[in-house]
Amino acid sequence: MLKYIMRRILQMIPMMLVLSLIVFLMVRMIPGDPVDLMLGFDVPKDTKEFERERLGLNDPLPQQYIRFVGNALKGDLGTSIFSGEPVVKELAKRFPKTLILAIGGTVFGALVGIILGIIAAVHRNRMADNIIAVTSLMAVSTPSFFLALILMLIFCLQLKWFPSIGMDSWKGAVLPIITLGAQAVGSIARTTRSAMLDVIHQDYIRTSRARGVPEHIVIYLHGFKNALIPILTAVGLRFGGLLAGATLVETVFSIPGIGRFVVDSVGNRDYPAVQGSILVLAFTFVVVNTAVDLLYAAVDPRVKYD
Amino acid sequence: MKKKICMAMALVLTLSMAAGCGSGQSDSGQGGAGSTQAPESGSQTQDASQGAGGDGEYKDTITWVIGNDQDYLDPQMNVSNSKVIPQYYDGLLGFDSDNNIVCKIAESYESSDDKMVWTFHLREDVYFHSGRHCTAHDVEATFDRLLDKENPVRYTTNYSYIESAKAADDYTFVVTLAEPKSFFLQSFAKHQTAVLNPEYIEKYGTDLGSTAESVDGCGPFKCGGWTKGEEMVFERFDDYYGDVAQTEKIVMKIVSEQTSRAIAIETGQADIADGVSPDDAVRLDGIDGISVSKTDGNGCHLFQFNCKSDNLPLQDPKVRLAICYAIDRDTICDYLYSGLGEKPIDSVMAPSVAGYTSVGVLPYDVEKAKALLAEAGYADGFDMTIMTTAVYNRGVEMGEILVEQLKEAGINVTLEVVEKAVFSSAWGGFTPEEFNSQFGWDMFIMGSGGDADADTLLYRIIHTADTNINNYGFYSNSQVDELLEKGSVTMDEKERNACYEEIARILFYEDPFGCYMNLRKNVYALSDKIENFSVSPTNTMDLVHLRCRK
Repeated sequence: MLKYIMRRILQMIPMMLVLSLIVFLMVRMIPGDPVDLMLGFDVPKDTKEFERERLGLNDPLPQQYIRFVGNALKGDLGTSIFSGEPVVKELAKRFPKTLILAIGGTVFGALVGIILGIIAAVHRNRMADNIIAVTSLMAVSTPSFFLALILMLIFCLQLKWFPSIGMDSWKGAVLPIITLGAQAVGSIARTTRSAMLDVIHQDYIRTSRARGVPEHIVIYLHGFKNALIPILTAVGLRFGGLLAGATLVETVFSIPGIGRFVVDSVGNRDYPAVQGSILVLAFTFVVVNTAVDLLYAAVDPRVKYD
Repeated sequence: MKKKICMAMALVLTLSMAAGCGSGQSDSGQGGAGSTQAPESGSQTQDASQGAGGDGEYKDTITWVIGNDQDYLDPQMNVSNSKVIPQYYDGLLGFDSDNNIVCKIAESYESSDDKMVWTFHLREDVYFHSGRHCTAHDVEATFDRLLDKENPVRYTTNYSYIESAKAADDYTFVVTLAEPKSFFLQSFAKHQTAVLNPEYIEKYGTDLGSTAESVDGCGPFKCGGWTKGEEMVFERFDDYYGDVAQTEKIVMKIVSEQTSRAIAIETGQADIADGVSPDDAVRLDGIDGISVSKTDGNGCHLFQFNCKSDNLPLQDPKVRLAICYAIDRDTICDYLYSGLGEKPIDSVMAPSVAGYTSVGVLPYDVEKAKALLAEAGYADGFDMTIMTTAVYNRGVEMGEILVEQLKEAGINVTLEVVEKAVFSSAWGGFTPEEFNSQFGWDMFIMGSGGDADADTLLYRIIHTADTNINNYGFYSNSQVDELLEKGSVTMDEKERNACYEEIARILFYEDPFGCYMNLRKNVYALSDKIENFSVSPTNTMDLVHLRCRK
């Protein structure tokens, strides 16, 4: 197991390097640059050139990249051009909020998705299955900003249960988490349904039933446990999607998370901020996927990593 | 219940469309031409007394939601807008909420007969937020920084007409000009000349105003915190020499999504919502407990011409005039801005700008447009490119309408929608050749306004120049140049106004610089508990008298 973890960590190094290079180049390929945006118009070209020089934007790209990677290895992701604060500090401020949303969204999506998936599998081709299929489809295809607005109208405006902007307390997190999680509900429900259908037609399930084991134990204990691997994969992948999907939700609910920071930073062409944020998001995604891989062994003793 | 749900669903559809149209609202008034103030009309006060209830119970904190944060809290660098700087900083002069010039730190002032030397007498009871006593030497240090050509700040060139600015004693400040300027007082009332603490200039240098700690002005509010992109806090300054603010704390929260700002005021999370969309303005106005303030601003939208475009027809004033005649401004305003009550503009400046005279809204006349095109040798029309951006409120939709309207006159338009970064990179000192090769737009959206005076508004953007640092479309007309030069040194108001009227006439009916579109409004949604709400044409709110019932 330890060996496997070490191997995964070693695999991450070239992956992060390639990713950093891609992000570094992509952000510089889009037209416009931070100095134009920072100083506004009506500023002489010389003044802008001076500022570019000061920020090191005129250095050859390889030199800029090596500087970026060198500093990143030391834990320094540069200084945000717009806020003037170290990117690490900016991210530290925002990351917890995005993490709460992504974890909350994943938990919500997984819980609801798994329950719906199991019900659909058990009641295959019956009314409940059809209703769940339609619900899942709707959940997947409803744009998150649209769902966010509907939830706001119902729970903030009509019922006045939750605040519509900010995340100063747990109440502020409820609607963003539901909005995010709804995206995951559909896909997790579909995956759970097919995984469960595979399992409940296996001989050992029939045997359990024949032995007179109560149906709920057959389904939730014997069946579900064996269907967990594809479900775990789906949940792990959704987590990455939710990290990225947090951007829209953070914008609509005005939550100062990392997603909104990335969007603002791309708009401002704040190169260090974009690079730093993407690296941290990617790193989180890789770590979560590694954790999911390790969980396979926990849920299925047949999985061995050595 | 069912009815409520139906209503909610209908609302959602409307809102989602508004959200889809994007958070185009932005503070684009500064976009084109400067960023300052203006006199006369427009400002509106929703007086306290009406419906105050007289219970005397007011909130300690007012929440104001806004779409964009500030760039710097340094008056000499800030380009965002004039909403925040005047709350923290005061200058020698300033504007009241009707944009009349008023004394601030200066108690009085006088000028020499030739208007070359201006002497300001300072109040003796002015303090910085840090506790430092403000004297003429601090004003001198402020101007030393503003006028330093070796290390220019953003507004250095705007004040290049000043020969010297020195303290004569602790409370007397003398400004000597290179030549008399008709707009002198207007330019001294702008927030760019706000007084800075010399210790902070020394300590923070170019970082002054980049954090809450580096802000130290003599204005009515202290900066109580600034989390960029999230919120800014205005705290009452109890030692302010003027009226002390009625509310202890005002929190400005950044909520970039227009629809979320509208919902925030509906849920009561915000007391004031800044920059609501035309659709939200109509909707919110019909809700109990909320009102929408729509007052005349001094900015306008226009589509400027690239007068030195590689696309030869655009170099011909007749073709440019034909384009102006082919645009139906009334339809555009009705369709896009009726919720805000914005109307087509009848001059090259808003009525609130000193020097304004109406020359009439340019009529919509496709036949005339076709005749002008024929005269210019383009009877069969031609192709052109128009750039637009969502940086301006409904800028993209306006561009789309232009495409259709110009088709009527036989002009085939390709619309190029760019984002803010590309838009911002196009100005700042390109020659026509550089601009054409890099961008190649024949027309582009722009905001104009923000300045209180015709000279400071127009001179930089239309006087002949080699590059597009200010004259974005390389406009050049010798008669206009002469009138601009005359206007800037003519002290007689009537004679001066005649110069600007003639300029407006030329720009509208002879040799257009751009297609002037709609005069913009300053739009705010307010809780009915808000009292003493007042906003100037330059979109500066009077936070001092603002208060909100509990």
